[in-house]
Amino acid sequence: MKIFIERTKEEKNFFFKGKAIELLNKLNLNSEEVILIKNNEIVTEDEMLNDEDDIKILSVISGG
Amino acid sequence: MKCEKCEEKAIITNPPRCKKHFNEYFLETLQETIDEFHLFTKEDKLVVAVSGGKDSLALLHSLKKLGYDPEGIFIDEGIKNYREKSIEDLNLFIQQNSLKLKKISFEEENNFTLDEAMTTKQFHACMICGTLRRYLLNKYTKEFDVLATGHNMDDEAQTVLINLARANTELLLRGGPKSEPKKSFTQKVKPFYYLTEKQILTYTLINNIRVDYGECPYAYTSYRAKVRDLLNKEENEHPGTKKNILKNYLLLKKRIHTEKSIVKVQRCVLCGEASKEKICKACQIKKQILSKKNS
Repeated sequence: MKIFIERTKEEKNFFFKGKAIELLNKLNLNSEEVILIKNNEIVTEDEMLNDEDDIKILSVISGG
Repeated sequence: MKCEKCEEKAIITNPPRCKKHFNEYFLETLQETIDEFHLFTKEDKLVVAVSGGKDSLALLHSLKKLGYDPEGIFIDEGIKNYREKSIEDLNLFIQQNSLKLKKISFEEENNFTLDEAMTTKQFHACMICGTLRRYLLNKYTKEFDVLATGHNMDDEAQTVLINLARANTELLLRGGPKSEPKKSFTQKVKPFYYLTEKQILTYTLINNIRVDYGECPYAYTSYRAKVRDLLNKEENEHPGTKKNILKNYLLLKKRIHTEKSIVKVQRCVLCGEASKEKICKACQIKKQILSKKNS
């Protein structure tokens, strides 16, 4: 799975199949602080993800 | 997860709504907040403090959708590799929506950017930025009835906790969605009081509002960032925590018998703006930074 983490501008590539919330836990991300985009669509934490999905993780935190 | 209003797939869990019904929820919550706290009416001359980030652009966009006619005021603090991107987004948004925008910069007003001020190692970045920004916003919004800011539920719940933890009683009691009306200060309001950061970013995404996702490079140094992380952890484990903090804070505030502030507002002897002291906080900061910068 190709994952782009917007906040750190990191691109990760590893095998993953499961719920979005499991992916966030694996990446140590709090679902309160991110929005998950699967193949250009916003999805909720219970969405099932497949290894071939294109994932983008946006940070909701801004400013200071 | 399905939308709680229809058979479509939800795009957000709090509340579980599809695109169309989340947009409805967002605008309804905003209108309810404006009405509940009597923030402003359609007749008021309204200005929004804009940065080009998601909160202020979403505020301008949603207020227009509700039929208000806001103008914008933008303060450029001078933060390299951060502000440039949001200025681009702001200019695009202003152009697309034919809005009026007033631009003010730290550099022109104070003779230093925030980055330059930081090299003098005199104050914490948020202290300089917050004080000078508030000062300039007040100075340049005198012809308006109301100044709206993009402060959201996350910001406000964090502020309550910070003021409690730091025993800032005066500041704590001054919080809430509407500032006390004072002669020399533009009335400040926070229409996003009951909308979270996540809901606001979702709104910008589904309405194709281009925003930069960058974080202020000085934000990580603040106590606020620590409180934010703590609150988000709590909210994740106990949904509703942020809203509870604000609801209970407002209830407590109502119950506490507060004496009217006895601090007399006077005119700063250096700049003539409203001040609690002989020399206002903004002039004190400017003086100290400029003396270090030029030495």
